[in-house]
Amino acid sequence: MGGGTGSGLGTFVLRLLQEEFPEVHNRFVTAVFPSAADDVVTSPYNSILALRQLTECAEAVIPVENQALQEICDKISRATTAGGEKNSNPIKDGSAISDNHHNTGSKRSEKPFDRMNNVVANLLLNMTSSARFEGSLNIDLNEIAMNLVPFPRMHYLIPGMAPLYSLSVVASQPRRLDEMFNDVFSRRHQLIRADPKQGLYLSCALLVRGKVQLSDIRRNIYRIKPSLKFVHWNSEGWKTGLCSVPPTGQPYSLLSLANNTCIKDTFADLVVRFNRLYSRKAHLHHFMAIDGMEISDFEESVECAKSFISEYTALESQYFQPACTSIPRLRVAEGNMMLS
Amino acid sequence: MAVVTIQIGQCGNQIGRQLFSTIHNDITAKQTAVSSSQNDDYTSASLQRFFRRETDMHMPEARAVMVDMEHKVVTRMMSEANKEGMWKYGKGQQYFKNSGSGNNWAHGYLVHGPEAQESVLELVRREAEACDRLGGFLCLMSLAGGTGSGLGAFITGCLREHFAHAHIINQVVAPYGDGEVIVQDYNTVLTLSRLHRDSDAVIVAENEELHKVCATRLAHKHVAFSHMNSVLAHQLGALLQPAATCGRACTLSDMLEALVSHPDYKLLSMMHVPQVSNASLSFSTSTWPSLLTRLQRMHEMHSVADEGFSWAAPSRNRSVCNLLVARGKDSSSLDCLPLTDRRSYVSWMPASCTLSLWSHPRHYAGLERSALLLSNSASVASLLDRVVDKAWGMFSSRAYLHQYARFGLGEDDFVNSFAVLEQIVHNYKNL
Repeated sequence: MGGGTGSGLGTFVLRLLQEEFPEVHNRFVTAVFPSAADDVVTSPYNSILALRQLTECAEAVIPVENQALQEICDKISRATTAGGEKNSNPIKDGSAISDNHHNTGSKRSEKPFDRMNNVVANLLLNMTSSARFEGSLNIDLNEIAMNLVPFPRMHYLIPGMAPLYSLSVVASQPRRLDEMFNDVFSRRHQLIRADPKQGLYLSCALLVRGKVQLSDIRRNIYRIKPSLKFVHWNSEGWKTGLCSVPPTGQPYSLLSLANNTCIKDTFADLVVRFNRLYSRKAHLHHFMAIDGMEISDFEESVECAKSFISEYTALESQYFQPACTSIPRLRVAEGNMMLS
Repeated sequence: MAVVTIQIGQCGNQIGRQLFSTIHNDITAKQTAVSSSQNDDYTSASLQRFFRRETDMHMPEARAVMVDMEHKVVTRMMSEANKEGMWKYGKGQQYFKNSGSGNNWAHGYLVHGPEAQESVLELVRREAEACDRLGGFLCLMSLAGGTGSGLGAFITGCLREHFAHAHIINQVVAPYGDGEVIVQDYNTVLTLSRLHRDSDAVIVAENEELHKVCATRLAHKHVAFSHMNSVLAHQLGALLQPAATCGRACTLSDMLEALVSHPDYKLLSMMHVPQVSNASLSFSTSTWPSLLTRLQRMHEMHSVADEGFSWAAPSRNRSVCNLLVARGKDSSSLDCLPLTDRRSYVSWMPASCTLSLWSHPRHYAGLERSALLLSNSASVASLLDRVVDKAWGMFSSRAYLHQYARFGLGEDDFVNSFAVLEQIVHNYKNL
């Protein structure tokens, strides 16, 4: 979202796909949101302008933040070094989600974003695993979009992944499965900097890979549900998928895609950074120099973002007053139906 | 009499495969406790009913049409049947695409339906013409997904239009209450409103109830869909295998006459006893009085599982009418007293029509005595009420409506479907 080609040309291609292939409904976008310390100065402009396109043209967006990815990679390297030094449980080789499974043998030089990109690659692999492998509860992309997006504009699905790595000594991993379910809802395992437990869930998908029983999944959902806030009309808003083939290097894994109101904080953050530049009109002339770019585009985009944030806030306030939004059911009168 | 089975979607195809295996295993069972001529009558009637080429005992073809929007499940079911090596699916009797329905009822009903209509009807016609006497159609489908529910409802409508005089029975499966698919309640409401119009009878099975049977009575530690499918197939077999009433063979017409005499009451629930795991099979014997008392209790407590209810608490489940299918020794002369209490039936049903008895002396599936109760009663009301409640909650928040709208299903369609369901719930609650 921060750069020029990705955010600009990328969202143009998205619009093009929408126009040229209207019958293909599912346009999934994996968007990398810039961190606060992004080296591209104008990233807030690019992001807000792109955000508007994403909200209008994409079916579902999987946002990912560089900062969160960095923290996850740091966590993994801490576990690696800690394991090596104190001679305690080292990480199993090739099991971390930041590993490039292709090259576990050779020691080729690592490029700066490799580890973080591998995390996102694993995210995409897990999301498409049901379409590529067999399982007792298959989910394809259509089903993900159908079940997770109740309102057309609210289509931001926050990804969370667990486990981050496997420890070598299997015996010392008590209750791994339940821990995995706990982890995937914790702040540290989300791929954006957000805490879904603080926000309101509109819906949530759990994509499980590997040797996990349906009964385990149901048991864990039952266990964790009370600590999560769901909208009143979707209190059982879970979509489950079970693929029998585990990812490389791990016995099983879990990907959660949450449509949660906490994404509004990410947008609010972007708006703040945008305004910091916009209020000084900094770097604006570079954009204006391009033919077809108007100042109104900036105005409209930031307004779009702000109204979007307020839509999420409105949903949250509904959580505390469910009665106002529900209409009483149809009643049957003797002989004919009447709407009460 | 022959029955053509139409398997739609993942659930429908998986159950269908189990059903044919169950029936074929029953046909080839050794311990039947009847004379060999009686056994031959039974097995040839059963083969004729469900399979083609009854002269070729070794590899009969199922009278089935398999429909799905993606190929994985259909291909898997065919290969499982081939691996078993006892029967097979007819070549070319399959219809599948590569797109899936994305759990979207509107996609199944309004888009895939019209596209598939010609081809599926052609396959059905082929099966129907291969029957000497077509008894009717059995459609197997789920209520939660997009293909089983949406395409299934559409195909049922097509069958009604093109085979106006044929009997159509739908076996539908309702998902777990706490969710497999988020939009399952919408899909259920939309499907049942169509089926109530187009089908002759709808047998409603619930995953939650089947799960209880597997977990409590059959002692499965980890209950999987295959266990639940097997229970349902077992029940359907007990219903549809040859039986006699008043000295003549039973047909689907008899079933509908016995159970669906009023067009407002078409939803049926199924219960079967005894429920024993394979391991305990050889140790269990039951008498007819004990089986019938259990069935009666399960019926009153709305429980498909023969366990987990209090014997002391009184309850009254009102029925329109019931059908009892008893299989085993002396089944034709058994005393149905536990199930004939006049107070548990509606007053407008004449006493002679409240309970019908079908029987056959042959053992079913290795059980010395077994009894199935197919009931048209208020049991279904609580499930429907729950589903309509949740679906209406979503509807009043306008959630997911755009997903259906993009395939042409508008809010008016939803309201009409809700109206039909509310009427059904009202009818059953006021029995």
